[in-house]
Amino acid sequence: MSFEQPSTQVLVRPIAKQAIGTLVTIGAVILALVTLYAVFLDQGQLLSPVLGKVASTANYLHELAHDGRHLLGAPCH
Amino acid sequence: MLTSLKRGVLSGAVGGALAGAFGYLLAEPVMDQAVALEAARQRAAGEHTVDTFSRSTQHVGFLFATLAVGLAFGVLYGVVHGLLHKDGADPWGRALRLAGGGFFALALVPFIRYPSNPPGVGDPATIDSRSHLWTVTLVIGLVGAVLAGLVARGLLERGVRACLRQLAVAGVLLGTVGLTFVLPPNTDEIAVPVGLVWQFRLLSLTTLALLWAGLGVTFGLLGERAAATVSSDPRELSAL
Repeated sequence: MSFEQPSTQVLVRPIAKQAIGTLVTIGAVILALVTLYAVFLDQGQLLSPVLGKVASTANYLHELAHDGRHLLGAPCH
Repeated sequence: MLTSLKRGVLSGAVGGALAGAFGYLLAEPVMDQAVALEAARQRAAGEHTVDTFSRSTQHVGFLFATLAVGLAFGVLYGVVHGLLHKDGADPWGRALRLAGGGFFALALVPFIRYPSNPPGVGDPATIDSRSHLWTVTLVIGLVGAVLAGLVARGLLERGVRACLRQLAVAGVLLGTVGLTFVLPPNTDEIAVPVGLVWQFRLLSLTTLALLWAGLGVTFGLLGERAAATVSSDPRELSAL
């Protein structure tokens, strides 16, 4: 028993580290895609679950990112 | 992968900040002019509109938007670079080529098919269809860039000469641009003076170029620095 412990530790550590790396990467990619959606395409969809109908009429994200949206080439009203 | 991701985030921040600073100083005055024209036209037509945010808030929003877009592109760029290149060979050339591909796919192709327009142009009724068509140009651009990369790599492996390889890649890229023209044109009326429109469009393309250039150059320099550290100090090889 006593000689088994070090070998499992050596095995477990790199796998855990790799799994964390993969999770961080996937999380970052999702966050990046949501960010791009918010800046370039959102017409109130992202905030409507929180704010309700006013999200699409006031269009907060669109209006805040308005100038960036125009200058970075995305369609705007 | 995490090294590449971290470099991507840092590079994206640099590209986004560069694009933001350039746009803030040179493009915002042009957009303010376009917004003022639009407001004057609406007043003359007796339309009553409520602005969600003031212009000065939108100026700050612009800086946030460019930085956020830079960071997001930086993350995606870092992940793609990490997946494509496992070794640290030619960090400068690889970084610039991938950034060039990103600029082509996500900026140049959409811009050539649907050139950006200043505020005041764009019918709110057609925003959904315009957004969809614009997204299709991004997808076409991405497919074309990936194809160009595959062609370049395939021909290199077969030992084809550089001039022919590069012409083949240029052919793929031109074909990609041509393909976007099967999409229907943007029919929105442009009621802004043509000089203002084109000044805005050139600034828009320059801003996008700066974003991708800042991203690629920073990523390349970070890779070069890491490569230099490895070659000058072999003890650090194991740390990487």
